[in-house]
Amino acid sequence: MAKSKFRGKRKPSQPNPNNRTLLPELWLEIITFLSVQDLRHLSKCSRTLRTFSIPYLFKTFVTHPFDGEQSNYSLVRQALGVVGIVRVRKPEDCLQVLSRPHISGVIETFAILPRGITLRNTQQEATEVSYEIDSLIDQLFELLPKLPKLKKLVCSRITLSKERVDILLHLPVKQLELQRCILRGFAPAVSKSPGTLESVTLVFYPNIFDPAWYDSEWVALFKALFSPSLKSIQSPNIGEVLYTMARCPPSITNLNIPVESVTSPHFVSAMGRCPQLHTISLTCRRGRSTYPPMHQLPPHSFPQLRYYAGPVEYLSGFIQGRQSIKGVHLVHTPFTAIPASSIELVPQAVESFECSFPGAIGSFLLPTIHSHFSSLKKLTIISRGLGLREALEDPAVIPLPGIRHFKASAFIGLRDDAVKHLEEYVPLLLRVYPGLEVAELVRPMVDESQVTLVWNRNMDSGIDDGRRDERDVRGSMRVLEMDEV
Amino acid sequence: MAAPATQQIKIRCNDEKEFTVDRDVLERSVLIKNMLEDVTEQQDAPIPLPNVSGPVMAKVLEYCTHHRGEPLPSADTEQSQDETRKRTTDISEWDQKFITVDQEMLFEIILAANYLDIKSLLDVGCKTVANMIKGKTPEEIRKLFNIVNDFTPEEEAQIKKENEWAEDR
Repeated sequence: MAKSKFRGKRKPSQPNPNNRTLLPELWLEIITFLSVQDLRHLSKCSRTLRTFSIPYLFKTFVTHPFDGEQSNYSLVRQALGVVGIVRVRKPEDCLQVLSRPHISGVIETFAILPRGITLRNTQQEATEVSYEIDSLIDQLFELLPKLPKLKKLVCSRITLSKERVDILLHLPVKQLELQRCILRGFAPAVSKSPGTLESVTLVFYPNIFDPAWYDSEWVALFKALFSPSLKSIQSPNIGEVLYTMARCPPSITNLNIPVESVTSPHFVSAMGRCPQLHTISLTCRRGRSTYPPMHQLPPHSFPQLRYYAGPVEYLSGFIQGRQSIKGVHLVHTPFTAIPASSIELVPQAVESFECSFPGAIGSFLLPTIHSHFSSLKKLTIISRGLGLREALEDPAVIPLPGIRHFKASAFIGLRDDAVKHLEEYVPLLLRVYPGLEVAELVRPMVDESQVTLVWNRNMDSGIDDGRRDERDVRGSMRVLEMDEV
Repeated sequence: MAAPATQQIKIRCNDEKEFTVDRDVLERSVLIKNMLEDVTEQQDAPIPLPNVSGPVMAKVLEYCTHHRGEPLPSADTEQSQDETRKRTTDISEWDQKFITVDQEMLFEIILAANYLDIKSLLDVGCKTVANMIKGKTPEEIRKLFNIVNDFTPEEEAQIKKENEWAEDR
């Protein structure tokens, strides 16, 4: 058997003579199963293992120069995943790390998150910090073109000046996420993006009720960014959505757009040219009660549509006659409870159903869902959190063994006793959903940190002792932050 | 009506040990599957496997027999798993019992799975090694896997600093 040669000049540790070593390429495979913490330990073992670990340790690079304060970090962390996140919080460290080619050369995702909620003693101190951070962002933008493997850029709460946008437009990235950024001084220019962009996500401040005033500048930016390879667009701005729809690259697979878009003839005609579209999410504000009529969609449009999220009013228009539908999310119904008639419009064979409404879970909801759907695997009920326990305890509710993943709003106490609440809920959930693998309970409050409790039947790896009942409860608590609400 | 007889294939390991195995079991190995597809006429000569010993092949065949008939991962699914990972180190109960072997045999199985191109077995082996690494200090990992520390003190200082940056806080 071939042996790897982890030989060194100095400080040899005493190897166990009975052990064999693994081929280096197999370490590359093993590394993909390790957490960041374990990777850090492995990377300290030898030069070869260090070399193998670095691409995973520094794959996702987050600059986040506020220390120990509440921030939007967890929002981005969730979007980025959990493996290989480097979070650098000291401004001077950011530049030092990036000056090392073996690190800058492996970064694939770069996130600039300069704005946490920060409390400073004096106005002067706050101003100084702000200036320092702004200067750092300029330097980071100048470094971006020097990251050879950069595929995804996330910017949160930064001002996009003309200079920064110019840099951004020339980056050959595949994914761009601009969260709550401010666009300033950008004029439609000759600059053209390299056409590599596959996914654009724009998120605006939630308190901007109608972001239309952004449109002229954002549409100009969108025009400059436009790529024929676009697959996914998420944007609350109608202007750029309609712009995209007018050009509509046939590569589009995923749209997350304002509900108003569907009234545009651009949108409707574009739908006939999106053969690969599989996910459509129509966003609208909570409690909206009236929707304009939608134009009839062209026949045979998007034959591969698998998921619809939007108001019940447009459901039929999108899913009628499409056998490919696997998931439906009925959003923000204005009623305090979702009517049974709405649920009955959803195809019975969907595997995922989600509904959100501003009231309590009534006594009819679970029986209606359970009797209507035949193949449901995932169920999500976002409400005011009232009535879940009563609904689960109701003996009239027939168990639905197919459900693997359940998520619902529930009052789960404060942080300190939230896990205890989860332990109380799990036996109730397992009675109704005996095949359950993951349960998430979301706290329905917006005035302080959101708490989600996650129960996972198989949380401990490799252990299956057959105790698939309430004794098997293993709860974990994931604390989310205000921004995620 | 009797079911059609399954084709039997002979293989020969590097210690001359020979096995006669049902074709569908052997075809869990992409290497052997490709070899068999390239051969148009039936041959009686055993397929030589110069990188695998008899005892290791016996274990590999035990795995392949247990998992016969299961769908093989396609290139597409592998890619999408790669993209969406957070990779889990969960191992099924049977696989866990199967892979409870001494470390030398574990490494031999991993090498054989790699050579024979049996992705699912390679994953089971690599997950087992990953689970062995979990929670261990660098020195413990070195000792466990016979790794020699070849860093200079200067390099160690630099790594300490870089790992502080890499700390997910």
